[in-house]
Amino acid sequence: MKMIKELKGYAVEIILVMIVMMLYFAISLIGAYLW
Amino acid sequence: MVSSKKFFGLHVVSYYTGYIISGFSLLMLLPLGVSVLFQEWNTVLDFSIGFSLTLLVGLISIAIGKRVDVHQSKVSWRHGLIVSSLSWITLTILGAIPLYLSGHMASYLDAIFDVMSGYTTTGVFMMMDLDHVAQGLNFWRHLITFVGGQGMVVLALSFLVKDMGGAYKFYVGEGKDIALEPNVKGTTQIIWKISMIYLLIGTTALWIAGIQLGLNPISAFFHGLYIFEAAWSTGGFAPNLQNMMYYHSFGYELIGMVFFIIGSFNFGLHYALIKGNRKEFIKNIETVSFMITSLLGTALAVFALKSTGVYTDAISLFRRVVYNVLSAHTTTGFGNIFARQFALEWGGLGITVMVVVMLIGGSACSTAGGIKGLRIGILFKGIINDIKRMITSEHRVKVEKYHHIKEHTLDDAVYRSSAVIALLYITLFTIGVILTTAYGYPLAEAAFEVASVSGNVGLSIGIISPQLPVVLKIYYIIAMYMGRLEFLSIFALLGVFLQKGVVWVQKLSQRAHF
Repeated sequence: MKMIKELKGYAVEIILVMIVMMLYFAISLIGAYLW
Repeated sequence: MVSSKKFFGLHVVSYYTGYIISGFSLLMLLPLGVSVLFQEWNTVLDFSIGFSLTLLVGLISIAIGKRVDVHQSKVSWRHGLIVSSLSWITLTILGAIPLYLSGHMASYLDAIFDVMSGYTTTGVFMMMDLDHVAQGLNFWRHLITFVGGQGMVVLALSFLVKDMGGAYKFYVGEGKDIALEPNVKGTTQIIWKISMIYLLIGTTALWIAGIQLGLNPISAFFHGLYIFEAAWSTGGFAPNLQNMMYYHSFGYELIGMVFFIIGSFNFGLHYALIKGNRKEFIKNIETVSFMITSLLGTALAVFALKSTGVYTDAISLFRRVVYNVLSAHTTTGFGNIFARQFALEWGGLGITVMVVVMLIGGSACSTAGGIKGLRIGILFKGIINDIKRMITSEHRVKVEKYHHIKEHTLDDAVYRSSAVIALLYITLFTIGVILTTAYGYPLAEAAFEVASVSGNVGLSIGIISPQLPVVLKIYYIIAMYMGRLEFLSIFALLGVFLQKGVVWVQKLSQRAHF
């Protein structure tokens, strides 16, 4: 149980970073089509 | 007469340094095993020589230290700092043996340069014909990056020394000062546990991606392992000359990107997230600072590169611009464009953004280098507080706080120490730029290369090569070393040499009088 909870923590960190990466991609999109 | 032993506890320093060197020599058995597996007999011989010499130096050092009962001698702050800085120098010289013997290095200094780049997780290299390097040697390059990122002094001590009474002093000496557990051994074990779990996840993900790219399973495994080690340690080494460009894969780059961003975060943040404290990600001053500076940096770079017309669509702006800016900001150094493209295509603004983000760097107590997001956040808050004090009456100014794992008061001591480290980084950078331009390199290119070595990044604009003048090679080695150990332990070592120098001069002058 403790191990699953911990592994969930690793997954959460990876997902959070992927969300942040989408923000960077949004900047590229804005750069390409609006600027 | 003042004896040198009394002077700075030669025995204590020698004993612990010997343990670290001996423990480190065992690491050489891993690439040796890989070379046996791939039947690279010349490399087996290189590592056998490297292993024997390193172990010998370590055992001699322990023997010198054992002449007194070191457990009776208290480990002082100075000992901790000196052992850390001395171990790094010794291990760099000894770790360069297999590289030099491989015949891929133009000189022993170049081998030292590459090993220092590996330990400090920088990622620049002087190795020639990288595409045809033995598997064992590539394994070694990436292993030292991985171990250097987590902290090799503490690794050696936590495995080899039973009595860890003074361990915190060694730990701080290596540039890490976070307490995840009440004792250093517990904290070190957590750091290694987190790294090993991510090693498993990251290598598997990259292994599968490598097979999808058409690499054979064994080759895909080693590529996955190397790229993960370099990404997690924010190192930047790759088993190919073309670095990430070799793979021609957006997916492969993205997986690497996830792990180098995570690798640049503080181990305290990893621990908080694993323990279920998700709010820490939004509240932590370092993640807030990183988000602001990285988003500003990428936006400015995208704007600069879009204006030049080199990259026009969203995918190429993301893959070529955002990727490189984040690789620089997290101090990783993975590159997916040719080094000279920075000089020829990125323009003034693009290079300026890269230099600034390289100097800012990643998080404190992570595998990243640079001034660090924590200090940038503290300095920013401190400046705002100073302005508030100036424009309002003093008694109305609140005590400023910042959140980093827990709430901290932003007092003058914290503000001052952050400012001092930032100033030292800028001084290291400025001297490097002056030296590099003195050798005839253009200012923008010199700034890029020096920011890359002093921030332990690893991206190159094309200056670093075996043809680099010796003085610059030595300065870049010092810059990588100082940047990684964050000055403190190196100053302690220098202080001892200076003190010894003063005593030596005093003795000489006394003799002259008689």
